Amino acid sequence: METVLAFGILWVVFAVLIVILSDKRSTLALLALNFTIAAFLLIENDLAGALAKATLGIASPIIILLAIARTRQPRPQFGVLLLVLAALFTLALSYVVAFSVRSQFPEGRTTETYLLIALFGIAFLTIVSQTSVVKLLLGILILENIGTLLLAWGENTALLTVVTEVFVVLITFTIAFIAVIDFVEYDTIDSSKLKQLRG
Amino acid sequence: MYITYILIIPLIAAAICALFGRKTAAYVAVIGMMLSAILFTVNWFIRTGATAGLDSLATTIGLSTVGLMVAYVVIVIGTFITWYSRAYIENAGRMYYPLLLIIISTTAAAVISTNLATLYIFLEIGTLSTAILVTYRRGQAFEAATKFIILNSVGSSFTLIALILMFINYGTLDISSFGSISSNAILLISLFLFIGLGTKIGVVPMHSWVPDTYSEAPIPVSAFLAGTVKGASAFILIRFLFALHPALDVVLLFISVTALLTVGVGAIMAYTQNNFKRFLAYSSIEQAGIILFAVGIGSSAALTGGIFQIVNNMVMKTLVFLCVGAIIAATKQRNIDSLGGLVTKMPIVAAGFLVGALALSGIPPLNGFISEYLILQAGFQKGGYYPALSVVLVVLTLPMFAAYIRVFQRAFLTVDERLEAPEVSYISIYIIIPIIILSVLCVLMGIFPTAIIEQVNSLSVAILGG
Repeated sequence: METVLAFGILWVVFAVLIVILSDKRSTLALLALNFTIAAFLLIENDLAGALAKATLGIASPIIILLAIARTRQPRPQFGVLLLVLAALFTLALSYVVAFSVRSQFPEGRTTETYLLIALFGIAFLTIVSQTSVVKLLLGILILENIGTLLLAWGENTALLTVVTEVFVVLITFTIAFIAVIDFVEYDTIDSSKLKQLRG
Repeated sequence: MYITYILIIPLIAAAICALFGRKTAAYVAVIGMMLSAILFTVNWFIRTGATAGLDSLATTIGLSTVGLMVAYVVIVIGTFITWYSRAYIENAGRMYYPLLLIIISTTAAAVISTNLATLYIFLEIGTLSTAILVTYRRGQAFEAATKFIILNSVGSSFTLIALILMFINYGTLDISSFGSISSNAILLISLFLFIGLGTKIGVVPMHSWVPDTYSEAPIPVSAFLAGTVKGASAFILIRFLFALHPALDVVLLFISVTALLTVGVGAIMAYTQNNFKRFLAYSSIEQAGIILFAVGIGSSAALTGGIFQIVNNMVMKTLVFLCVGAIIAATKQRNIDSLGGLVTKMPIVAAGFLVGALALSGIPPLNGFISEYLILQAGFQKGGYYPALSVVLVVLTLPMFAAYIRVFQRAFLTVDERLEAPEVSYISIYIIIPIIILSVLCVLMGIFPTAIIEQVNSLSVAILGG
């Protein structure tokens, strides 16, 4: 349980950093999140899953970093302080929700379930609180990571892990590509501004 | 053999299309899809049993014969769409036909997939290919594509989590081997599955990508997304939701209420639209709600009505989209108020649109009436809240009927003397042919529904029986 808790706290911290930090730094937080998940899978004796996560998990942040290098971060919708408060509120709310449905948790997975619900809350906070296309993508990738973590609960999940990671990379590439094209044409990757510019 | 018609022929055609120039690619795509549809039709009518054509490759990648009928309709509609594209799309991009064929074949394959991993692969390939096809026209299409891929990726994440939860709880990737699990797990999986696939179907409140995407994508792509991909996603939801034993009443009630909300929002928003394609997009949201209401009832009779509605929707919705495509091609106008008096200038298109609109509104003796009647009948038979909810459904569909009447009157009948009459240019016969065939199908499926209902009924029994 201690291992799960230690990793879980790291995941939640990295997820919160994704909400708060700039596009570039939050992508590095995603990279750290992916690596800690790979390490966790290794500890759980899922060697194939860990390898898939460690190798393919690098691809998404690299693609995003390449996209960031070709674009400019839009002005954040909310200030850092507000985002920190929102993250704390989301974590508290996630805990309350998880606590109220704790009787429904799978046996022996109490800590993991609390952590996954917290990650779920932060993923949604990332998606709803940001206007940068890159940040929206990072929110989706946190959601996909919840899927990968759930896979650690099963056996013989290597196939699904690889399939998931491959499509995560493809989705990342598509969204990042659209963001770069948008920037070339409209000089911004702010989703709300893009809407106005395109008419 | 059916995997050949669903996957191998379209994918080989897609590969050949990618190698050749634009004009040749169009012909290769049409020939490939026609070959698939014809061979599938021949096999369909001469097959000797439910497993006829089940080869080892199909079994290996997790395809089954359950749902083959829906896959057949996907391939047939896909053939019409490819045919229509050849005449409609000028200067198609190099990747237009390969991507279109990939979307058609992966949609058909997803419908008959019983393997969790295979299903996810087909769904994701379809999503990515669609996102690229939506950007066929630059500018606003990019906005639509961004919205499409971001919302659908969130939906895919939910579907993925549902599929993983299924795998963890059942210990198998094959839904036909599912046993019983705790009701808590079923509740969680059902909700994730509903939100994930509901996003692809365009359920309120996950529908915001639908109007943008349908209005910005090329008409043949919008037609395929609105009629066929949406229907296929609803069918996949039915298959996977009812593979969970027992389906929970609270989940079904939640789906029913969400379905009514979807019908209401779709119908009311459709009434307020002046852009032809956005009008059809909201009308497709309303249709999705009707299908989901059948899912929410959850009985065998309701699923028969629901699956019949899915098949009908593929035909009806494709028909109205192709009619609107013909109007836009001939008049270069997208706004309904800019049109008028088209009934004399485009009589076949007007007749086709009228048939499609009446069928979608559930007017007898057209096909939409039969399936909607079956759904309502199942709602009244189920008892509990459902008779009242069925009445609400009827009331909520009225604005949609009014919207169709309004659109037909403004675009085809009324001539506003203050406005200049729209100029109507020549439309290729290749655009008209699918409109005629689909109109005839709407009428025939309404007048002679027995054979289809029998097929659909055995399909719903197979789904509920696991």
